[in-house]
Amino acid sequence: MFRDALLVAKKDLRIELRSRVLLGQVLPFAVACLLLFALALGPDRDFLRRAAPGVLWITMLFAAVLAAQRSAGVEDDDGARDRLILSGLDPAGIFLGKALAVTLQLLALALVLTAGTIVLFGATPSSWWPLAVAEILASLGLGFTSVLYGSLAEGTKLRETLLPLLSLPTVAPILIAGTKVYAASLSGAGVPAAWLGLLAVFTLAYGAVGVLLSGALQET
Amino acid sequence: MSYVIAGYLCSAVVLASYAINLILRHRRGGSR
Amino acid sequence: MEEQIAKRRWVSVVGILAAISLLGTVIMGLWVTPDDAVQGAVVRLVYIHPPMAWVALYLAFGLSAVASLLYLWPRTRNDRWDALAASAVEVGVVFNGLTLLTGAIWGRDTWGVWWTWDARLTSTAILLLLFLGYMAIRRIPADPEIRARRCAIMAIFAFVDVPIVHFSVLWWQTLHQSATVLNAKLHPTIHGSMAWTLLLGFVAFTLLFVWMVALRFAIEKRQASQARSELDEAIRERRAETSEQSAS
Repeated sequence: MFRDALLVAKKDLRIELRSRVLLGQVLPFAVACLLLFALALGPDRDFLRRAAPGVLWITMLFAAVLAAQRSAGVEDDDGARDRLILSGLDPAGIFLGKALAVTLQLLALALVLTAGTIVLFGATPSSWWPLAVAEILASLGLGFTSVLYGSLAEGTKLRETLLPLLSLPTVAPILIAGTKVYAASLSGAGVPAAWLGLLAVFTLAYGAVGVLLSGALQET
Repeated sequence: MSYVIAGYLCSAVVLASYAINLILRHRRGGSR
Repeated sequence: MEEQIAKRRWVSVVGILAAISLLGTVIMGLWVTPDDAVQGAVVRLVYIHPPMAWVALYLAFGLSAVASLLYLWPRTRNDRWDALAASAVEVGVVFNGLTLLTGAIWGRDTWGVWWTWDARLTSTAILLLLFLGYMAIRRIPADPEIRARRCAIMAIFAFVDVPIVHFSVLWWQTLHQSATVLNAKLHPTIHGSMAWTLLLGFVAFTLLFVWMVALRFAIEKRQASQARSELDEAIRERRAETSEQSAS
């Protein structure tokens, strides 16, 4: 399963490197989001600093929706999806592989966004590691849900509008936990172990669900 | 108290409408 | 035939019991029970709001998740589980909406605002969106088997989220630094006749839920079999056409 996963992950990442969707489209979109939020929430630097955690994580969620559409769309052409299924690769491996690819892209995005909020919103964390752990866990969790919902909505003509409706409520806990961790690291308050635990539970749960249901998903 | 009445009333209206809707759909389709 | 009659009678009995207990809840809730020392008359919403929340969040979600699992597991796969899950979700949406409505009214009366970021209300709102996602998927035109499988998977995705959403929203609310009046939860202390009425409320709404799901389930099954027979009819006609053509 893991060998298949690495294969699929490498494939998706190679496609991404060649097509540069993340670089050319998702990243600019994310930066644009930061700017729009800053414009909307007013020039008061203090308020922006307090709003920064929310802004970062909302942008992450939106970008994850895009990543989900992209991940599912990679196999749209030339019957690639059927060929992937017929290739005999373990469905769970395919799921993990695609999720890994999305996770890495989201991690890169998280880095850029964090830098962006530090620069633009003046939101410098006093301790780095809670935020880092949160972003890693969240990227993985978002990776899992993106691939899951992407393949659920795949094959339907309404994928673009359906995917946000499906996935955004589901990942609300990531939004909540992520912002709380970032806010805590901004204010120098104690390490928010409960929130990190929640992120871990979320990620574990959806990883498990994905592995268990990957067979059923493939048949939809 | 009026808020309470409003709450009970709204709930009753919604549930009753849905119930009637279900009953009608149940009766309408097919022979009984 | 006998099975159908027996089943229908069972449903009607539940329906009548539901109506009686609902009436009892209303009478007790509006007239017999006293006002609360702290919250006043608005506490009477406790006889309908928490029961509806319980039905929407636990009964409906739980039932749809269990039914979906049964559908997906090959050994128990059966169309009736898909029909049951869909029925539970639809009824759940109605109760969910009402939970939010009564919660908003409660908040309006108590604190003067239409929405409070109370943990339960916020969770309920998120779960409503998940339910709506299920219904959106269900509306996508597709082969019945594919649709059933998609919906079952969605139900499980949503159900896995329920405890996580519950805790994250709860901590979001309670770990909030600046305590305000709005942090108070919609939980009055219950005793005496209030407790009995509350219990009656839970029973009443549970019975109502069961009755509604049973009806919806019957409707769903009939729609499915009608769709199937229409398909068979169309296939038969087509075959008749082609055999005429080949004969002539």
